[in-house]
Amino acid sequence: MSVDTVDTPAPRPRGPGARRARGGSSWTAFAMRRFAGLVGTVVTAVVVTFLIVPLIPGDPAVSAAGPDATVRQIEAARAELGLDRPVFERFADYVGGLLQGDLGHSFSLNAPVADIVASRLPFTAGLSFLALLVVLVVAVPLGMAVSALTRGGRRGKLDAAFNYTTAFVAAIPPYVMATLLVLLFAVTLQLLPPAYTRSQPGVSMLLPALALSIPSICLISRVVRRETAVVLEQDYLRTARGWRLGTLRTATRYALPNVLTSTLTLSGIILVGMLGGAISVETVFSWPGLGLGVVNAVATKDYPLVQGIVLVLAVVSALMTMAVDILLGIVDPRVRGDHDG
Amino acid sequence: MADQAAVRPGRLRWNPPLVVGTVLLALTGVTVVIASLTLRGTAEGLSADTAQPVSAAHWLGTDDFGRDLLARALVGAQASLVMALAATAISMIAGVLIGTAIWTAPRRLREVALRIVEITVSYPELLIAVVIAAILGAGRWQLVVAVALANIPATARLTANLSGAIHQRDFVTTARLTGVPRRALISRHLLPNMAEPLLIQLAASFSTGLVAMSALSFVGLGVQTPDYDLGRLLADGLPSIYSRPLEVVGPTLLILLLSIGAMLVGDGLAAAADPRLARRPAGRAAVTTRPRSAEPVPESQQSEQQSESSAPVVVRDLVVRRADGTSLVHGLSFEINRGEILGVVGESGSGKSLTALSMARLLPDGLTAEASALRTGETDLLGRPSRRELADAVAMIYQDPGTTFNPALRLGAQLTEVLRVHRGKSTVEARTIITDLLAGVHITDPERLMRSRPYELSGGMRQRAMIAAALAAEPALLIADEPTTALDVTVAAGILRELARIRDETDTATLFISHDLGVVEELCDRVLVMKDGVIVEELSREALRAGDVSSPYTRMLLESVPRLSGHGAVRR
Amino acid sequence: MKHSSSPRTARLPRTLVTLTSVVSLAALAGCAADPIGTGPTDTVRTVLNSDPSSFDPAEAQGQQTFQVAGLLYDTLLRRDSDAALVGGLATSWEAESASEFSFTIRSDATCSDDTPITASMVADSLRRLADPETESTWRNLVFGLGTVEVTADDAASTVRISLSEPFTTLPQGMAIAQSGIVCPAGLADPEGLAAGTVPGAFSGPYTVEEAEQGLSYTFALRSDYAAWPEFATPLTGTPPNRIEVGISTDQSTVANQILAGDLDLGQFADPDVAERFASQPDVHQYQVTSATTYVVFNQREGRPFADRPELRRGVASAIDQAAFNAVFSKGTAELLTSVVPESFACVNTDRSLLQPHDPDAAAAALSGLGDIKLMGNTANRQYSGGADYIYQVLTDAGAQVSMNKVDNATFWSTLAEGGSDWDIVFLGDLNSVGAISASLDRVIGPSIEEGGRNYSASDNPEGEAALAEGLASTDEASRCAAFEQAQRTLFERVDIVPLAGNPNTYVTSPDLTVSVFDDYVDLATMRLGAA
Repeated sequence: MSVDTVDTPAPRPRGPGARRARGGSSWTAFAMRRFAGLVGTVVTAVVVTFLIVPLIPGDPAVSAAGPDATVRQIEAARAELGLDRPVFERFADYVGGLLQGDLGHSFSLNAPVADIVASRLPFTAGLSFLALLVVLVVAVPLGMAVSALTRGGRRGKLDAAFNYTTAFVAAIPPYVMATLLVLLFAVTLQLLPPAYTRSQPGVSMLLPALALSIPSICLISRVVRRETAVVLEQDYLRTARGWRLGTLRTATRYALPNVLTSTLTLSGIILVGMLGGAISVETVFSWPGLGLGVVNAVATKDYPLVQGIVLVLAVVSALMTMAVDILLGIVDPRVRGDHDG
Repeated sequence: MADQAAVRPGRLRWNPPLVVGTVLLALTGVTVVIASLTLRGTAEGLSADTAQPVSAAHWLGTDDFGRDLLARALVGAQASLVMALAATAISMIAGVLIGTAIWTAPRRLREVALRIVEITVSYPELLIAVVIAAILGAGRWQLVVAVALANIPATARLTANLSGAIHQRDFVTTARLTGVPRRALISRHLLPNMAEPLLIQLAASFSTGLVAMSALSFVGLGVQTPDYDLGRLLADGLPSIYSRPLEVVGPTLLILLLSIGAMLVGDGLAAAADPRLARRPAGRAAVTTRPRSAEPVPESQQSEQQSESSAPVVVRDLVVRRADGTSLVHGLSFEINRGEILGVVGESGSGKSLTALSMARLLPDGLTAEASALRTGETDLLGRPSRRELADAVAMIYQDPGTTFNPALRLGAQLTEVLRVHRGKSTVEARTIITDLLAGVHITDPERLMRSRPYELSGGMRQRAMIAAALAAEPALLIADEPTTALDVTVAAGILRELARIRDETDTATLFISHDLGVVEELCDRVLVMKDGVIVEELSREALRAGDVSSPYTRMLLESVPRLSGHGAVRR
Repeated sequence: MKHSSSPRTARLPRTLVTLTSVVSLAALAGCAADPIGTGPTDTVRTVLNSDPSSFDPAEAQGQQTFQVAGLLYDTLLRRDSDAALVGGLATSWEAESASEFSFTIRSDATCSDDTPITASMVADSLRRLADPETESTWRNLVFGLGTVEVTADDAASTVRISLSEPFTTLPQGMAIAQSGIVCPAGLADPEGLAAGTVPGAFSGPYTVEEAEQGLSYTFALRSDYAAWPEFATPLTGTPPNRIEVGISTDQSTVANQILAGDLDLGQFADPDVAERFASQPDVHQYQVTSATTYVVFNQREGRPFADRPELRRGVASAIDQAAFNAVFSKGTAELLTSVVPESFACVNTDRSLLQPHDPDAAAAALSGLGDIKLMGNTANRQYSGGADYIYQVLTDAGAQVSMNKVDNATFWSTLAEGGSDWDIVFLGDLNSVGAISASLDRVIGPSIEEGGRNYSASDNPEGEAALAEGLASTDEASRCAAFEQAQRTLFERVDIVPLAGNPNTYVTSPDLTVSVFDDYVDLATMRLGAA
């Protein structure tokens, strides 16, 4: 006779383990959902980027063709933009081209957009990746430490200092931060290259990565601090303390995964926002990434290039969102069963 | 667990960030508006005083046109302020409209709309703004439109999610059933209940909008001169920061003031809205579930009678105080013998849990315990025992098995933790031991349980696992703090049987805390009745069964237990 | 040759470098290898503010594209100091009349595919430039408005150019990069030529080694190249083996990089940025007037300034050249008395012909004038600030002005359309020929839409006649007399308001020098380790 016979599994979920698992297929269902989300994002991006040209007031071909353009060049621009054909036909062509990896031809750079994007993408990817790494490595321990140190209203001064400092630093626009970093590290101290240097892309990436990550560090460490405060109140932390596992083990095995769950969700948006921050930071550092590329493309009215870069950036941010989701799914399996928005 | 302070909705509770932020915004706003009304002449006209340094007449000097830089910064800030406010207003109104529209739409449409909103949120705002700038060209209103459109999805999603949550609340359901019109439903029920999160979103939109606009101006896609805003001034000033740093001082300061102000207001609003955080600024160290990791018990009253008793658990003159000196437990003394279960009963707030937590050295923040003797087995709890000694001395079983395990880890990893950390066992050894212990507490498939995550298990199974984990350390004292309160009656009976079995099979001393005299009577060898931090009465099991109690409080407790008459069939 | 690329390791503790490089290199996976601090010592690193618009010299747009074309394609003649010309691909030349020119081609020049350069190859390249089908915007600048006939005599190694309309500045036109000689391989593949992918297209000292559009370009010195021109002051030092060109629009950043030793050459229009090198004795600085600025009115029919010289005079009175210059260049530029700098031949230097600054006269003329469209160029802070100045003085004079700030590309395409989207602009005129006629025809003669180069579409027959007369005179004195007469008509009619030169400062690292001929910087004369 087993007592378990009367003990049905979790009749009413409560606490953090609120949702029931969906059995073995949860991973498949989860992956399918995420993938559908990705497809949706990409499809939207395709439609939106296509719409850029039809929505431009006036004649895009004239402004696109550039200075001292001849009639023939304007006609070429018009043909490249497809302005001589009906919208639906152009959309079909646009999608058809995309499916074959053809993003069109850049006016200002006289090269296929796909090539330009391909040569710039590694720079934005590398920069974002390094910045992301810096953010996570700094912001998570910082937020958790501050949360632990100020628990229960202790160390009011540290609490206030953290709050106001992070608010202050996060409020500095990324490009101002970038300029100040250059002024300090490159011009005054002469420790690091002030801008992208071809012979040493790695070292010259440090300052832009710093400029990009510092505001995010502030924002995310605030999120981590708040979420840690919540997690530290949970019963399972008391359990871990009751087992006398020590501060470090308790923090890394019991607090961290649960902090990450909520933090990652909130940070996803901040991190994607960082991709936007790259637009101004890349300008300061002449970093040859997609952010600087899109700014130049808009300035020179190189519409095929604008379309291409925006599309790729949108896909990259969608991939980042998906990566965060999948990471969440790994850290916390409950997320996989979570379907309500 | 003490109740969370009740939040009164609708009343704004001021806190330091909120005050500082509001003051910053108000002061900056007023200054900037006054400046734009009075200083526009010096900010925009040509004058002969070109490129002047700092002087009494020009606090930040002048530029090449002879325009006063401070005046320009202030008037530019007014433009930025107005633009950011306009963009925020547009995005909030449109976002709220879209969000509520989604929730009043038919189900199919709602699903599709929600998905689209989700997708648009995943694009970087600045990227959306750049796209719009590419379409509309550069300029002031284009910038407002670009940033407003970029901010709409976030607000729409928030509104949709909030209305989704509120829709399911009782009062809305009632209102719908009683035929309240949809518009009234939105204005009277939905919006007021979303006010707080939306305010926070508003503050966030404002500050991100401000920075986004300036960033667009900086890269040349925003306001064009002679029109100017803070971003334009910064874009023109930053290149000369190396030769004329003064030019960026004004605009940088103002953008910081406005953006920090908005951020602090958002922070303050969030803190005011979130009771979890509201407690902190109050600086009041209440009885919370926030224990310190290693709370040292003051050794002030270390007693010389310490070694008097031979009992494995000795408590003498235990006092638990708040930080302000108020004592909550007033000098308890008791002992627990080998193989004995000592029950402690009393209402909430009688101090029984605090007693247990003092003995486990897991008191929450702001509380301190003092005693003339506090000993478990060989371990003096008033001294500085190592973590390992503590783990050997005391193990606890908690009330709610639903929350006592880490949801992120499999049970096997958690249950073997003590053995691996304190006993130096390998993972395999630890698993073997725990598997045996689990089998011992009547888990039918220990292997499966070890592979499971907490939420995949029933409450009874989790509590059995908790017991197994507690036993793994072979503690001198086992504290069970209301271990069956959260369980169904039949499941609870099983747990009680396990505790009784442990007493019978090992010589562990057990402290069993409950508010249920019936349960205590079944299980315990001896019972302490607590009220307001003192022991009212000590009873043997027999005396309790016989109803042979002297204190009126105990009698009252006894009478409040339904059908106490001692024949609880279920518990047999 | 001790040109160093300044190893970064010297500036950072080694462990930090190692650590950070490992991290960042890992992050930059997929990028080119990173030989920290071991760049070749004979490489010059520089940046352009935008990509070369084309590698076809006939299609080149913008000063920096001309500079690149100058590295890749040799011209028949080359500019030297004091407005002189020296031989390039031509060893000697003769102007038989104002419309007949002959050039003797040097025998030792080769294309980058080792094909010897012959007279007929040169003629083919020039014929293509002159062909209306090619639609080169530089055709009229080089050959004038008439028809062109180019013939070659390979035996004598001569090329003859005959023009239907006299055009004395043709030899100067043969020295601008846009008339660079394209080798047969390039002519055979126009698209490849434009993209820089035809290895055999180049006649100049450098070839395109690598082109990553929007990112970087590398030009490599041809080992077999020997056709260096013989300037009055012979060049010393060695030409750089490689020229690495990045793209950067931010001048402060470029300045930082030069100061940090990460770049060897920079061009600065921003006086604030150029000022930062004042205290740097090691670097070389060359200040030139790379373009001139002046106000142009749209005089097409129906526009406010058409047939209203008194209004144009009002505008001229409103503008204080010195105040404009303070805004435009921090007062570093020369104040103009014509459409070109004083260093040009035949330039007017009589300041009394110009309208003096007189706000009251301006107010009297302009007060109440409605709806004037001022178009401003946002190419850089100088142009943007200059437009703000014009806007301000016209507004102060009581005119109702609406300002439309547009990017550089839109600015020029709007001007090139003629049309009605603008009434008044101040423009930066880059005179690559180095002859005043190439600026005069921007405001005199057939309008843009008529196939000419006149932006204002002014009706100035007197000026037109004087310009044509100048272009037809082979005699220096009579040519200048004619051009000065043409300039006088401009001031009488107030077709232009001269403003200031557009100063450009070239900065090179201590080991690198470049030759400057009058206001022309020839990047093909970059030398390392020169005396």
